[in-house]
Amino acid sequence: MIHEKIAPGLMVAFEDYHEKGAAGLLAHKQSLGLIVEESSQKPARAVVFIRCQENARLEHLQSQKIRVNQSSGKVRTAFLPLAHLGALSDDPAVQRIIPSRYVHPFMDIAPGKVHLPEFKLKTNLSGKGVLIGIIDSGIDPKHPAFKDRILRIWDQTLPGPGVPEGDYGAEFTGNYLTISRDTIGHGTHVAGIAAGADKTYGGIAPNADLLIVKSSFQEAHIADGIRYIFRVASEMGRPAVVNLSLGGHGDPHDGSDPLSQIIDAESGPGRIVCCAAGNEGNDNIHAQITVPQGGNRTVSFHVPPASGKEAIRFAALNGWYSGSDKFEIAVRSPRGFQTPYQGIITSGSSVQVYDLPDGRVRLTTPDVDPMNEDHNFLIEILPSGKSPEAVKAGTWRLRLHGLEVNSGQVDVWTLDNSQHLDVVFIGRTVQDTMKIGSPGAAASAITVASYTTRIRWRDRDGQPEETGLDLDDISDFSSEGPLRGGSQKPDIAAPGAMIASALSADAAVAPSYAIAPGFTIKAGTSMATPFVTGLVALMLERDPQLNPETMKARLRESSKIPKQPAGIFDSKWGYGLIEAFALWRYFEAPAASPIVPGDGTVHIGGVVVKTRT
Amino acid sequence: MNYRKVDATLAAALAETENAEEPRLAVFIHMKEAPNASAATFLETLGVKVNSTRQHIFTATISPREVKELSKQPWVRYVKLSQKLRMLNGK
Repeated sequence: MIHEKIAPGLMVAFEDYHEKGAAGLLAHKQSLGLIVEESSQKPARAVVFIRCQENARLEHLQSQKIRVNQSSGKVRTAFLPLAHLGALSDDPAVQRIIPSRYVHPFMDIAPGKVHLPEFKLKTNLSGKGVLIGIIDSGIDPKHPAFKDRILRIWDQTLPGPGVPEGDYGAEFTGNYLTISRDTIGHGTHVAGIAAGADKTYGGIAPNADLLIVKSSFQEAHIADGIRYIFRVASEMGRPAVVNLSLGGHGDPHDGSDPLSQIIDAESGPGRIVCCAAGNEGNDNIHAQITVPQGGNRTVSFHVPPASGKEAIRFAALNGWYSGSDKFEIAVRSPRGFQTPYQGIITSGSSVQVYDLPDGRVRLTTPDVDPMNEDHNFLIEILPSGKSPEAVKAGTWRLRLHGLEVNSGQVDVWTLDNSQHLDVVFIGRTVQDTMKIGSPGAAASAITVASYTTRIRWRDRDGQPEETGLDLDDISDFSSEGPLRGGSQKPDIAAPGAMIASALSADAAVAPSYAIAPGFTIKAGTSMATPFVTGLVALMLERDPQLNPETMKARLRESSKIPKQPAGIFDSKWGYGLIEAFALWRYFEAPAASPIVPGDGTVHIGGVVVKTRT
Repeated sequence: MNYRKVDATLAAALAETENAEEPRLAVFIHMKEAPNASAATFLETLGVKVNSTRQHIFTATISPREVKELSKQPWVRYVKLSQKLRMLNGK
């Protein structure tokens, strides 16, 4: 017996069986897949998962009464006498043996907390006839949760002739879907939440069909993807909802950016877009300051020390202020080197470069942006020629001087090359507001915050895992609104932590987050958004012509912040956690659609209206 | 180049380039109004398909030289650099 291959819970059960016989398994059989009959002559048997090479041959194990149910695959199930566990572990093709467990339906926790099962029972809705568009890292086309429901994949990352919306990438259908792979896993997980079909980890709209855009995450290509999905939906004559579990902070945070504008232009009856609010609730990525006429003010930001892959090789500030104001800006480095003040440049290039000993600083100060009539400035800091590895660590300072001031308010956001936005503001100018950027800032989009419905789970080896979030509360990482200018965002909150859903076979997963073969657990406003996307699909199934304004109003009216009266808006919760069953009130009166039985009459709402012959 | 029609991030990206043909920049092109025939022809030289007469914003991947030419067109309102977004799953 090779003990290292056997999961701890199963090993303990084996040892108890070895020591005490069937009686030793009584404590285990409630949770493990064991078949134990104390009074019977039959030996105890176990149902297990085996991890092995995809093409491993295991038929020979039948001679030891070990029945492996699949002839291929990296994870297989097997049925064997518990006493033969050692023989199974001795086989060189077997990498790991894990007990099958009586699972708790993780995904059912999230829907249950928002009374979704009651809503679906009452309405019998499943998303049938509706298209869900996912623009993301792709999808695992072989995952059983999406069987026969992925209609098309536009893989923008592969070479190819493209589609009418962009002559890049390749479009796949049918047997060719498998050419496209999701090696990151994010898109597969998102799609599973919105539309996965599975008894334990099923999604919200398990009968909706899927249109997938595997994106490079360039805004322009995401915009092309939205147009592609809605064009295909129009050709098919079906309603569609697009899910965007992505975002950034290089925009003005007021919905005037081009991606948000395209979302607004393309949305309409039966054309809905859902966006994630963002995960910067705990991060000081936004600063706000008011600069007086003739005065100077300072905004401090910190570049952390790091090296290797985590090194900050690029730090930037994206600043916005009213077009009626004029400011000069300068940057001071950790060791006190400062650029000159630079005002708005209206002629020629508005970019000036300053080589400080602590870094190369590029200031861009153009005239007003015609899309919102505000001023934008950009500060970029790169390593100096002498220190090519990273931007100088320490406290940098943005200095502002008020030349002409009417409003005086300046909002700034940090950007950097790190995975987790490590450059942050420090000091009194930090503001826990306005952290929802494009595309969540789009006026017509339904922008979703995250609510925590689960904080503990067991990984696939049965080990208990826990996250530090507060249960049954808004997730602390969920980004706060409102938008710059005061527009209310996010719109509503939905379960976004910890959510179990489909795992792409081509994506790596940390063992702590693998909960069952083909499924993983994740958190983020990325996970909350497809929950609402799926709900929107259910609503569109019933009323395919619902427009974004009505859809948003119904979702807001069906949401509530716990312990607050209905209708209250909060910059973190939006209008609160969606209560799915509350949506039932919009379905109580059947649609008054005419029925023409073919006998010359027309029936409307149960009333017969004779037609002229 | 009409720099008044180019946003801050695009201006910064252009300042870095010495080669008029590289790099290829993904941009949004904001029109003053829906494109007429001459605007549509020009956009097509940039690889932009004008699929709809209702659209006011187009996407393209173009060179610095093409940005310069675009900025001179009277029907162009603004040209903005496309930025890369992130997935929003947790940390």
